[in-house]
Amino acid sequence: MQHLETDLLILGGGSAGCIAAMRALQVNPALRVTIFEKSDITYGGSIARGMDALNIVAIPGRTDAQMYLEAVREMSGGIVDAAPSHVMAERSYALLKEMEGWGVKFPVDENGQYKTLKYHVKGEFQTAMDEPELKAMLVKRALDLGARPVNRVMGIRLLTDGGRIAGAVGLNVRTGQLVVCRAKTVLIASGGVSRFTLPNSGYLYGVYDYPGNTGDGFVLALRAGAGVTGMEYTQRTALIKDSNMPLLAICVTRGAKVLDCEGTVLMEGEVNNINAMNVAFTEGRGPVHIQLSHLPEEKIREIEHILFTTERPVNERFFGGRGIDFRKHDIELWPTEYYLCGGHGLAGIRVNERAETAVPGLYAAGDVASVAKQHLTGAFVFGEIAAEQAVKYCAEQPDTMFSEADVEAVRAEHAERFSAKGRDIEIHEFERKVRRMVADYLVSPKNEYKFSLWNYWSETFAKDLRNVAVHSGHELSKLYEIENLLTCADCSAVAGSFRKESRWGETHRRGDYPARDDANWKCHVVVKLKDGVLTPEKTPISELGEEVIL
Amino acid sequence: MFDSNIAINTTTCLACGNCVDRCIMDNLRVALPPGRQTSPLGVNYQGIMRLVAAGRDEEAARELRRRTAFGGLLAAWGDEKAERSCSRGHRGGSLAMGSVLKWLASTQSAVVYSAPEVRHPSGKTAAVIGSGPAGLQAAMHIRERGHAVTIFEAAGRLSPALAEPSRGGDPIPQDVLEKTAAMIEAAGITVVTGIKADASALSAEFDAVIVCTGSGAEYEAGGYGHVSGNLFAAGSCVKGSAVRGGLQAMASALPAARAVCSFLEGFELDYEQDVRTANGLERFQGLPESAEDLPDAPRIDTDGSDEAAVRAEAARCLGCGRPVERDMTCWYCLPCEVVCPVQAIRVRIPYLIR
Ligand SMILES: Cc1cc2nc3c(=O)[nH]c(=O)nc-3n(C[C@H](O)[C@H](O)[C@H](O)COP(=O)(O)OP(=O)(O)OC[C@H]3O[C@@H](n4cnc5c(N)ncnc54)[C@H](O)[C@@H]3O)c2cc1C
Ligand code: SF4
Ligand code: SF4
Repeated sequence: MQHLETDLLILGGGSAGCIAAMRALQVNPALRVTIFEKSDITYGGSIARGMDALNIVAIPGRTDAQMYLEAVREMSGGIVDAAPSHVMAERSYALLKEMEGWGVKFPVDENGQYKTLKYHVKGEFQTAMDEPELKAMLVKRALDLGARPVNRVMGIRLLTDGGRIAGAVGLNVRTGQLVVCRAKTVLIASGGVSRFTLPNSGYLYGVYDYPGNTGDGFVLALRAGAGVTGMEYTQRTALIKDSNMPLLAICVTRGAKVLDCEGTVLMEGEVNNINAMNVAFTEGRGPVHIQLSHLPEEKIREIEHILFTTERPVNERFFGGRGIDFRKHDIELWPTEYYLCGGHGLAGIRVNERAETAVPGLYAAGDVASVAKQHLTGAFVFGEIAAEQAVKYCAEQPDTMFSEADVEAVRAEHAERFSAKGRDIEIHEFERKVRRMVADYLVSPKNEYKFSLWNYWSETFAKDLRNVAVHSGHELSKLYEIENLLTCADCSAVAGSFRKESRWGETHRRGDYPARDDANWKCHVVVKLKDGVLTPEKTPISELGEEVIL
Repeated sequence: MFDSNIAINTTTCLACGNCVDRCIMDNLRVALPPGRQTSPLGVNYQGIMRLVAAGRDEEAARELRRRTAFGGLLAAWGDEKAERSCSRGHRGGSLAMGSVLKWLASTQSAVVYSAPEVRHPSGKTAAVIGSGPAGLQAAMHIRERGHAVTIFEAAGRLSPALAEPSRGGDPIPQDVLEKTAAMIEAAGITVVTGIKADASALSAEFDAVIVCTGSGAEYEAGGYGHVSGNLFAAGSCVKGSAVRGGLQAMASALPAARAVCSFLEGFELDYEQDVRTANGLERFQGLPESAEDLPDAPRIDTDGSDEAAVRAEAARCLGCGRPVERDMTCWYCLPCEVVCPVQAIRVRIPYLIR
């Protein structure tokens, strides 16, 4: 077993993790910053290559934080704590300026104004960005400042000391070796839960969100005593049929129409009615499709440029392969797999505007944290905030030490799992079955009976987990991933069953409680692990000036 | 070979493994070409041969430099083991790898002898005792990882033994020694000559010490050259060592140097010592299908000085290595393509999605 020591340990070197490393070392160049990254840090994470927009920027004189707060609340059924979203919007313009300093390109119009697009119900917060090398730029800056990446290592357990964070145990996803890192502070930045259900295509990894993100951080935090919220926010997006790549915002904000099968326009020019697409599907008016053929050639070129260079360059191959030319053909959209994520939805580790969790010394940022629909802006802003807080915490708090017995327990479990002898379940099949059952029982339309049926599967899978044949370090890492998916699914079941109302359209629609019930349910549902049992509770929504209840 | 999601152009692929290193889903592995599998320093001959054949000498030299800082010495020694493993052996004689190395060492010396890119300074110090092949290798490897390195050599000059004729071989040419010494200096390694260093005294002064004194078999070393505490040993100063010749000595220092780095960086000594698994390398998988029907091409004898002959010889490379998709976990995100120096990899959308 490997033993490391550091001041700030970051779990996940994606958008939030890399910028946090950068910020921590800017504030205190002597800090020891270590990053466990499940893949290879250079390109790992949701922005493997580039991104076409910074989705939330409050540009002075045009929009402001208050307006953003109103917009995000309206888009989230009101279930949004005020301070985190407000702080994010307040810091967003400084972030854009900082990114320009790295050389990131934000296109401007003839008048020198940033190109903005309407993605929220009010205000043009979405700001165009044109940077296919964003991730590589970010990583280089973090490493040049002295951050130390430990690649191909995934965090599998947090270590605590009398309730305070004390470090983490990681697993090398190729060799299967364990790495123990003692740390004064830990930042979880491991992204959302992307492999939650199966995509229509049947290809396990053909999901919208980065498939390396399997909810590991949610489970790490839960076990350490923090709460998770929004787990009933089981969302799915209408995406390009089969490839599951996004393009809705890119096209619609540039003038494309979204039509149902009868040719009725559901959206045009603004992404203002995503739910109408879901409704069209449920009512049998799908599939919906995006029409671009009415747009001038230059607009189509602009859209092609974005799709084929920054957002997901492989789009060109996909459309080419199917013979789809935007000048002539519409783009079919289908809702496919469900996922949980604080970047696009509401699911995440409970955090406040300081990126703190309920566990002292433990922070969370990005898609793994509960700041509503924060997108890339949130990952960056809260990555920075978490780093600033962690530096302060390290300076103020005495050293900690975890208990050897906790490490030994992880080691024993690891040894027990790392074997194929006498076991007859293949890891890919296990994953497929888990994700199929999640899709059968835990997504809309939901009802109490389905949740009770899930309990059978939850218990069955817990037993099956011990019977998965593990032939290599790589397969072992998959087993830990699926275990985390299962725990996230359990949280979703607990929270979904607890919230006895319907809210957020198709995201949480209960057949047995079809109406929205603000009197009883305009609150968060927070799940915590109490005496080994996942326990839901209602937590009030906080306003500006009030503390977020963690 | 069946590939669902990635298509490799096997006539250009260098088997360099860049795509494997960067794949974000751990989806790829390199099926090693035999030369890289057997070369004691892990030199990727397929990459070198193909680049030389294409006239891209500077890149070829870089591929050599990436695997070893001592391409100059290697060219002088020759890489017999790698040559013997070459699949061309059955078809007109194995590739003249040594001659191609000589060509690169002489025409691309700025690259072959370039100082390493040193990682962010770690603040840790290491002493290397002895400056024979093992010592040089250990010093360079530890230095590249960002640690401060001092070499202690008892003689009045660096690497004295290399300047002498060795068992059955010529001494290393003077210019190779000079350029190697200059590279050591440019890497920021401190060299102290004329002092017989005392390992236990240095152990107190440095964060780690590695003894590579080249003879005596005096150190009882465990796995990865660990003697005790922060003291390590490599090469024929280790009891029971079967090291013969400069190349073997150099190679034997690699695991020990890796262990020193692990030690300095806080890892246990065995961390990622299973280099193959850690780096996504798989064993040579036999002749590539495309090569099986190729006509025999006889070996072109050259001492590495005649350009046309060198290029023709390099062009005989069959390209036995290539990346393969291992676990069908591709997210079609394309970093693998971005880092491929010859556009040999193309990600196809998985069949289920096409
Ligand atoms: C296709 C796509 C397009 C998008 N487009 C936009 C856009 O245009 N504008 C916008 O604002 N937002 C966009 N987003 C959202 C935005 O990319 C994310 O919100 C943001 O990148 C999330 O950052 P993160 O650091 O939380 O997660 P990531 O960047 O995904 O990083 C998570 C990292 O953690 C690693 N990891 C996972 N588990 C572990 C573990 N157990 N231990 C260690 N490491 C682990 C992963 O390998 C990964 O590198 C898009 C997202 C996707 C998927
Ligand atoms: S496209 Fe992405 S996941 Fe697929 S092999 Fe390349 S780097 Fe790996
Ligand atoms: S495909 Fe390209 S990057 Fe991958 S091994 Fe071959 S040459 Fe190297």
